[in-house]
Amino acid sequence: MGCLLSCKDRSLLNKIKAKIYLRMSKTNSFLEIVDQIVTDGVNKGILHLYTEDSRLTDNVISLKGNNVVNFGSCSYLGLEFDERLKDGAKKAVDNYGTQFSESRAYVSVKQYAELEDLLRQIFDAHCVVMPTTTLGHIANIPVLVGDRDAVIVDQQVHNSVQTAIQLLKARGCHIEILRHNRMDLLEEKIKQIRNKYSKIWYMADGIYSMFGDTSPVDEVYALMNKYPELHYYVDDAHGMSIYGKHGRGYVLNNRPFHPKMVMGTSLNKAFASGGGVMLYPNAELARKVRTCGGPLITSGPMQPASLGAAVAAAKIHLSDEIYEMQQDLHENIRFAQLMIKKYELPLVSNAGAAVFFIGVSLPKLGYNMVRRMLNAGYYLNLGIFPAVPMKNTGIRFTITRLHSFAQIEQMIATMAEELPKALKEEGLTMEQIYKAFKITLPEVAMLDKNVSSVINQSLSLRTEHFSSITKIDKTLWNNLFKGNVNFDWDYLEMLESSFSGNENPEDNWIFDYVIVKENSGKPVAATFLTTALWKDDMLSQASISANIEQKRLTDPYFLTSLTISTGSLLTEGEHFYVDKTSPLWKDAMQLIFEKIYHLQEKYKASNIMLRDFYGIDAEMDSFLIDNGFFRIAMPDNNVAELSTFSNETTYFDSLSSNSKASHKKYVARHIDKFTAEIKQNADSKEIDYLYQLYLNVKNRGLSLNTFALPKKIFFNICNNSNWEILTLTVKAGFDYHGIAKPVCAVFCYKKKDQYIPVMMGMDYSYQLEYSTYRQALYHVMMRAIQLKSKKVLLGFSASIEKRKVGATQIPVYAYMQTKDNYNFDVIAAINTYSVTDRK
Amino acid sequence: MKLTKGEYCQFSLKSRLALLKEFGVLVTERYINEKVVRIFKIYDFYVEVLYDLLNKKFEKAEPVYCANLVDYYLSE
Repeated sequence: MGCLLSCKDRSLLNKIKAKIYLRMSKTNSFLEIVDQIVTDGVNKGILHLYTEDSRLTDNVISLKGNNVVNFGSCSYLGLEFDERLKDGAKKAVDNYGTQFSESRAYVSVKQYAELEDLLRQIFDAHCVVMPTTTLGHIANIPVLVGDRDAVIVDQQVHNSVQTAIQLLKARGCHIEILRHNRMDLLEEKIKQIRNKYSKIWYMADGIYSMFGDTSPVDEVYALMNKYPELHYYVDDAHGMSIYGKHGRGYVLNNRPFHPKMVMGTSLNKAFASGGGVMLYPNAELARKVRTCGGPLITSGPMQPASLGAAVAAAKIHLSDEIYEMQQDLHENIRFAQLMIKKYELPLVSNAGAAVFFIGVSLPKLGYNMVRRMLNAGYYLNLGIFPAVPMKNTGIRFTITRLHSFAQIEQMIATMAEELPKALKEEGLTMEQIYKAFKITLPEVAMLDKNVSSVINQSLSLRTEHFSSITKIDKTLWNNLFKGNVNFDWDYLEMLESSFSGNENPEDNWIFDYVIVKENSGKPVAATFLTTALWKDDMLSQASISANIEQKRLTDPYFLTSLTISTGSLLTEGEHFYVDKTSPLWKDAMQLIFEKIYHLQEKYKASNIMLRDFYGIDAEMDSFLIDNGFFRIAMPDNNVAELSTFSNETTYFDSLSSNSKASHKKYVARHIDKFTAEIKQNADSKEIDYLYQLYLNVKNRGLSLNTFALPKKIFFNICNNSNWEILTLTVKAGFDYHGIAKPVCAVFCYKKKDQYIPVMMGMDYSYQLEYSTYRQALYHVMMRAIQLKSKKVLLGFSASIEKRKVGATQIPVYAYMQTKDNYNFDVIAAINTYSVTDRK
Repeated sequence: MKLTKGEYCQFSLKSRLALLKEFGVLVTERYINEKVVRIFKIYDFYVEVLYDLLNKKFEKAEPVYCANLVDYYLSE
């Protein structure tokens, strides 16, 4: 993607990379994405809410002036209103004050001993009580996992476990990420690495907090029995209290405590008191964590009020009353399952947990539904990225013992009534939801299969789709895209011919063109798409790509995905034509999305990328996020305006003093050492040589990690009058390496008024001494002036150098949508987590 | 949305009574010795509830499978 990639001397390369990393680092962009999505939810009035009640007594809360039934609480047994817990907390405050502020390494308040004794009875295991489950994992994991151990993490394990795992990074522990609940892959991995590590820790949740599905505990136990190295670290926060003897949780429901298991669970959900408890198969492990666990040495303890409530809750758990409470809750869960089935809502998982997830696919539908439900008197959670992939947005709700059957039915009936209205409002169908979650389509959903096409007809818009630029009128296309873009009709014709009939799958691209017109024939929106195999780490840090490239030496398609993208890896500029003066522009965009989704299904593409957007247009940004895309920053694009320069002198005079100084230091003093030539044609031997120069550049830079271009495109360029090759050769007297051939080649596209260097090749022999890259930039500018071009599109990266030849930087953004977060989860974790399967 | 008799029977006695309380209508009741028999209409069927006055305890809440039984209670 882009032009003139990474052709710079080493120090310059480092400076530029540092700048790009700052914008592009995974953490930075990940936080940006979370910020966009949560802020969007806050702006829509469904996130960051506060209750307005002065007193809470049951499951009705006041939000935004309305009383609503709370279907978001994780206090599944409703014990937070139990008088015994409240009295326990009050008495503890009376007896011990509001806090006991000492590290547990020194002294703990008396209640701790009582609570730990009660919890030992509940779990029949050794335990350590923590102020939160998250701190428990932070105390546990660095102590339990030795330097010679390996960790395999379930993709969907709770964020608190993932946070604690980060602490292993500094120790260089072997950590891998595993596709969710794939026991077959776990066993495969155990077989691969069991001889290298003393222990293999598989880390998972008992009940997953978003979809409410469960860890296959029996299978994990069986694997632990089969493989001595395997250990199980499990967080059972959402199973606590609601399953098993004394409410010991989902994992321990009808199972013994496995001698190779460590479990963490929460006292902050159904247990209703706050805090967490860590459980161990033997006293020695518990002692070790109690002694060495970081938060147990340096962090504050659980406070008296919580301890008082926890002691009271523990006593209830040790009585038979807990079973009646569990049964009440499970009756409510069963009723909710029945109602969801009867009302034919798309339930994503049906594991019998108290967490339910109704799929709605796109965020805009999720926002719409949560808002509608709130207005109708029900508070439910929005399940959205990053907890789930963008296209797997859903309504997450919980069932507690406090809900009546009537509340449950009315809520579900309301959801069933509101969903079709919301679908209609957002231009979506039930079929799309079922497809997004790969759920079998019930007959009733088939009925609305054609709803969207009906909507299209009513919009007075029509979609035209073409599979080749040759089927589109040249003038029409070139008029639609006449700005700072290189992809005019001729350019695309050359691309189509270059990326077909090649041997490697990554070298064959599928081209699609979509134009949405008003009935009058006036275009409202247009774009072109390519579907191609991309490296998933294309925009990741170079260090991450370097790690992945090692794996690709033996598995060339590791972490690669078929991606459908507006534009292509060799085009630049704003790839969407949108006539925002038309009142139907959003509908037109919607129709393009519909076509993209259709093509995505047809080609089985995993990811969708919409690029390039110059700057952030708030309205477009919100529209794209609502439609399930997240924004990512791309490297700046560089454009130099030449319209006011008539010759080299006037151009040079316009440069800043710094640029002039740089020119003098790096370019002018070496300019006589080079011969610059313009080539229109090249023979096969020359093309082989030029291609090698290109590969030198390609293989040196990973900041935009793409597959190498096929040689065919270089043949096509060399036989196309719209293209030319600018070469630099070191003159004989200065060529002490005896190269006697071009040391630099810039492949340039000539468009009306624009000069566009698209690819570059280099022999780096003289780069440090003669600043070959800077020479090339200078000659590109001179050639553009000679051709009387008004603009030079210099492409991505190397912005500092390009600024010195007069380019201005344009911030560029892209929007992405993934069907499955797995590959990106792996990449996000790549510095910590080693690379595992790609199945 | 209506539950069937079979679905109703999946629930515990406590839940069946709660369902009657929330969705049912009392049709009739009779006192027989130390027991109270109540007939509720819920969804598309009737439920017979037996309450033991002596032990102050509900003994059963079962759907009525024999239509004649309901007629019998109603005719009394």
